[in-house]
Amino acid sequence: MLRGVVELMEAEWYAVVALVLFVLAFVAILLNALLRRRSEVDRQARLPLDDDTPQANRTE
Amino acid sequence: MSQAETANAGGSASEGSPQPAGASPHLEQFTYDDGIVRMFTLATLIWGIVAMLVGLLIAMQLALPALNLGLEWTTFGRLRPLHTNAAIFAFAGNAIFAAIYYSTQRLLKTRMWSDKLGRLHFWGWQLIIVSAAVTLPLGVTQGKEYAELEWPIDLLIAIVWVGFFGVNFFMTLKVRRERHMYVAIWFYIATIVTVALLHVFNNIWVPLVAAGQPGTALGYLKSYPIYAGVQDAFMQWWYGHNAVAFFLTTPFLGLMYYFVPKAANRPVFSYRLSIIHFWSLVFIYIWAGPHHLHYTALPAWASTLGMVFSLMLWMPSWGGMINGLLTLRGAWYKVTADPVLKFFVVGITFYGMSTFEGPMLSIKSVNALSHYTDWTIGHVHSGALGWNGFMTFGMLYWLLPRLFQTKGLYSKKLAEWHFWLGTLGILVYIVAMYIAGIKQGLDWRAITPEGNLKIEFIESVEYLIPLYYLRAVGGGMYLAGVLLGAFNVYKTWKMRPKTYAEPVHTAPPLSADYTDAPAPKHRLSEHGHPELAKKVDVWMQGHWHRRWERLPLKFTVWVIVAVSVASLFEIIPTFLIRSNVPTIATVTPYSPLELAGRDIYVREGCYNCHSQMIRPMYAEKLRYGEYSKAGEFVYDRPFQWGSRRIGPDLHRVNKSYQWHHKHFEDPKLLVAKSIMPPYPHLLKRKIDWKSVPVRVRAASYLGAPYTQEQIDDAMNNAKRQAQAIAESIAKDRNKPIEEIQETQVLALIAYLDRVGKDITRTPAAEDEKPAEPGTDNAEPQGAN
Repeated sequence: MLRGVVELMEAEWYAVVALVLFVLAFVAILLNALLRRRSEVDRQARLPLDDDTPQANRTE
Repeated sequence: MSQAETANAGGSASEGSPQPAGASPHLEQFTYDDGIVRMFTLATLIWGIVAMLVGLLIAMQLALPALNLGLEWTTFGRLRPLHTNAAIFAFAGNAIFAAIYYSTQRLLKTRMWSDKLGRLHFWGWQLIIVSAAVTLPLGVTQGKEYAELEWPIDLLIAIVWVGFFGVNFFMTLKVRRERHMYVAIWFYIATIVTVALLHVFNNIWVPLVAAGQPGTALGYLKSYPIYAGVQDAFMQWWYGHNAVAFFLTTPFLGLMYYFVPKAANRPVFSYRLSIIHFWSLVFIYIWAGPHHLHYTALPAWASTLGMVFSLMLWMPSWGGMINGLLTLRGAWYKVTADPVLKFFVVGITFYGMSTFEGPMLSIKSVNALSHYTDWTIGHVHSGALGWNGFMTFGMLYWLLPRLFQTKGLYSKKLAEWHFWLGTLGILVYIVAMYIAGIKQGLDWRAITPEGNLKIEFIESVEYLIPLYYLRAVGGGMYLAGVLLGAFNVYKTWKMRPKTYAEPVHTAPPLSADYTDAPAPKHRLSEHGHPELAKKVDVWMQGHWHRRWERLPLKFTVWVIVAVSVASLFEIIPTFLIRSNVPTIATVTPYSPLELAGRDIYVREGCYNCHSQMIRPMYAEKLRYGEYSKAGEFVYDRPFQWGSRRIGPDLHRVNKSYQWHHKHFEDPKLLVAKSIMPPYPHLLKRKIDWKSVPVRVRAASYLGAPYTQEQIDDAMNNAKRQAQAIAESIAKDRNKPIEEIQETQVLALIAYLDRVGKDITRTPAAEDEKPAEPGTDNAEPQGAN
């Protein structure tokens, strides 16, 4: 029955709901990124630069 | 500092903030597996050269068709998929694996979980590439762009991608020593899960062998997709566009976010922007696929939705480009002296250019001009050569001294030469293609004041030949740069030490009893604010997202939710809503011979040069006939709408049998300026009769309404139809029938004669028996 109902539906509202969903998700992400603590963000951003210095070398 | 000293030094720098309760004070020692990175690096270079050589060959074939040397295995239709697959999956694929294996270990402070899985991944992937290189020239193809590889190779891809690569990557996440997953890792996670989803759902098929024994060995490799027509087109471009997004964009962005800060020796310009970049891309990209199908039989709502989301991609893409370029703030002076940074700067700039151009081309009115033309080819090459290629070479030049443990590159000057040859090569290439594409688009729509077509199709082709040569010059320059790079790699490799040193690193393990820092307190005054406002304030401080970033499983689940929700919003209505594909009563399944001919059309890769989709535009209707309707493709597995018109559209080709026969023998006999190669093998090789009923049965499994009687009689029916066509051609061309009988070209001609004709048939009256499959052609017509 559900399939029958869906088959007869019109498709336009899908696009509108999709757009609204996206906008909501985007606003949440934007807030999340902007409200992070600066010290924390700075440490995370430096991860690639702190990753490759061996504390001990074995060259033999 | 000695190992013992470091082991006792304690410290928890890698644990990050907030400090975990009860952190382990001891340090663990570990090494990185750089052997696997060296292997992928070498494979990147080798396959890059192969992909570009094949590209150069087929580019030249468009100007000089004889360059296929008269061989069926080297025609444009068969080699173009080899070029695209080699460029995407072999060159770019191996490059992203090198990047992921190198950076993941370092960002997570751990060796890859399993060296063995790494090697299985490497050799499995090379086996896939070799299988592609063997099967595609043999004509073993699904006939869907960038998803040409047939079912046994599809299975192998799923095993290698998920079973070896995916398991190894996610287990490495599990055993990591850095709690926060850097943004590059997010891009890798999105790549792995989304490519797996795309691959699986676009490659659901019924192998021919499930319906019986085909008559040839290659027949065992053939399959039909479960989707047909509009739905197959939708799934294919959902896949095709997102292959660009999640194979050629997200992993390269992960690469950018790791290697550009390393090369510039400064952190990324804005980590916050990188977070927005990531989630926006993951949310938006997946919707954009239908913009490849503007003005086709795809429902308009779907293609409009694809266009709107494509336009929204401008925002995060340019945010990412700016983030990458501004990472070089204060270090621009280094760019003049460092070829690595040069490659990165131009690579990121091309990312910006092609992500500006992509959304622009998705605007319907622009797409009406650009679609099917060489403009698209210019666009994809600015992305592939500029963004993917230059990011890869920047990374390789940065990696080489580290991987081969040399003091530097063999020659910085050669790397500079590589850079300049490559940059100029890309510019020559894309400018030639932009001119060609825009001219094609304008020619095809040009109308005289009297309302007639102004330019014959072949005249639009003639104009392109010098531009095709120019394109080959650009491509040749780019390849020359890569060859210089290969020489530089070889000489740098020669400078390596006898045995590679294996630096030992130390870091504390992640404590098992780690507890998250408590949720922050709200920042509002206790009085005068409702509880809900306080909760919202706590939520907005984002501690929940930082928790995800430490929880790979949950993070991965949210990525899957993001891409799945978007996909289902488009897929469900496309598949279920009846009004999307209005039924046409006169459209019936192909006759057995036509079905076999269709499979030859797929095998020869005709879709690489010809579309089967007449758009509802005045000039197209004048040139090709009535525009194509969704209901006409319900038995087309796979759909063959194509994406280029190197030759004209073939949906309503409307030529006689003898015309087709002569044209396949040598197109120049009929169209002097044609750039289509002759197909002599089709005029010699015999039809595989044994496979005919198997094909009909497989199509019947998938829903084509053949009766049992028709399936049982399939071989004889096909032979009768082929004999009638052969007699007609023998008579018209004055040739002995023995030369023509049973040849494969007859099946192909039967198909071309049938395709697009059903809508012109008279519907059967309600009390009459419905038309049977192929009845239109059971008694083949003569020349028309």
